Amino acid sequence: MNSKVRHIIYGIISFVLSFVLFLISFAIVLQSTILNPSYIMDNMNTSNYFVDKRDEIKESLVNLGYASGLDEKFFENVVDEVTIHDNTQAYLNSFYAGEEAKIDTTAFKQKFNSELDSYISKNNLKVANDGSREYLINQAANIYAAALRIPLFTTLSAYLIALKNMMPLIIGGLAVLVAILCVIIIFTNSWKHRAVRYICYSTSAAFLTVGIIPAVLLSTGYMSKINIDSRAFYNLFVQSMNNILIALAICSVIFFIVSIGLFFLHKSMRRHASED
Amino acid sequence: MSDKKIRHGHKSKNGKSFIILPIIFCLITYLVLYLAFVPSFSPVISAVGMFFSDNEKDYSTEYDNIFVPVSENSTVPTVTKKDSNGQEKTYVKNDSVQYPNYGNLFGELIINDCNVDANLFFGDNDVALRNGVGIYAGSFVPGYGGTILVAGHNNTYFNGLKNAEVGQKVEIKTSYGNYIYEITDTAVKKATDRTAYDLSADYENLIMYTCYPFDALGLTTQRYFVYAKLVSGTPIDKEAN
Repeated sequence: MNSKVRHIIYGIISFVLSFVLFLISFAIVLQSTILNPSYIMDNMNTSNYFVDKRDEIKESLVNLGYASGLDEKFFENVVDEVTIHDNTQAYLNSFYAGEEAKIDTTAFKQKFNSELDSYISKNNLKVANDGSREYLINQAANIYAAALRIPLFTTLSAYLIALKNMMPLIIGGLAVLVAILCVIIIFTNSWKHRAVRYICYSTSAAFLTVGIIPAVLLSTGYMSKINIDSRAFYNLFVQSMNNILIALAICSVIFFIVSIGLFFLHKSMRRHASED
Repeated sequence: MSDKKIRHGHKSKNGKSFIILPIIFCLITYLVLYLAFVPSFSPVISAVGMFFSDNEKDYSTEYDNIFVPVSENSTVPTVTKKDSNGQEKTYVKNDSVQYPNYGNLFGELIINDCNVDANLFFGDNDVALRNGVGIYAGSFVPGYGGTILVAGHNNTYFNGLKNAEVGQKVEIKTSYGNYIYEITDTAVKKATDRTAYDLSADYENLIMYTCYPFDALGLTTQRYFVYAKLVSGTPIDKEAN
């Protein structure tokens, strides 16, 4: 085969390999982050999400209290991190199980109701009318549930669940493709150092392609400029996205190390081939 | 170069291809992705852009205070013009008025007879109603010649409205002048009753409202309205806008 034609053919195969390596890196990172149910809970725990969320809910309830005659102190014990944690965990579990994800407000309503009873008797208050109390409790429960719902989760749920189910197959398929391309490159080259060189091109390209996104986004701090009303969601989003970017950067570094190894292997094999 | 080396394809000794080819592959990869997703790329970028701003979000719940009380003797820049009846009238110079942005504290509302003395905000969001009373952003600021619709909580700053009576004076202080209104009527209406106020009125009038009944626990469906007419205060020269 003409050396120029051969070079072009192997160049194309190397490019395809680099592209597949790029895709498989993203697939693996997605599978181990967003599509992993424990990933969001872990980030919630480390980003102080439950404490921030408790404060936000309390803040909203205090505003509701101002409109309905409840003192700020009333809300001191109405919401706690443990209930928020349990309800969020149940919400995420049902979401990742493909079930209808709902925030269970039963525990919150019971707590609110009992606190309201003692507040009314302690302060000798009158209730506006028969429906007002129920309306107030439901409004508070709505505020609580809305605060715990993760933005866009419901909208994206169908896609995420489909992706979650397909991802092992996608990763498996891409891994097989990587193996096939490597086998083609290795076994169709009579001089093995050439095969190593072409694979080295691919891993170097994968290093650049995978690494450029986290390098740009992490260095500019772009993720921290997102507009989210809730501070708890903001911290959760920024931390989760930064962790995803760091995971991509780690993939990129792995490709870089492999490339360096392949480069020296190629040098060594070429030297041996020249000496033979 | 020896024959063996040529056979091995070692024409390039300095290894430039180890740098150039990966860069080319990287560029082609992003070009392929761009071409593959070009129909949906622009809308996606625009949509993503909406979620991001130039700076990090400020989560403080503080508000901007632009209220500098006007003392009795100080003079606010004014201009004298003829009104529609041909009579000379004094107006506050428009360029001397610092119009409030949404959420700004820009004045004070006082009803001495009802024991009401509250910070006046532009906008009736939670922060405003927690720290005072707020003008609905779809209505007008004092002096502008329209309806001023002011909301407040019945258990805090507007609790005193339960003592409102016809003839009592309401004072609104701003950085561009002080305005006196006189209560003309009070009424209990449904929260959904849109006829309780007229935001398109072409004369200055003040409407204050709060939840009703007073001192009751729970979210109520009725509102207590207090209507007042302008008694004194220099109008803003809004034609200079």
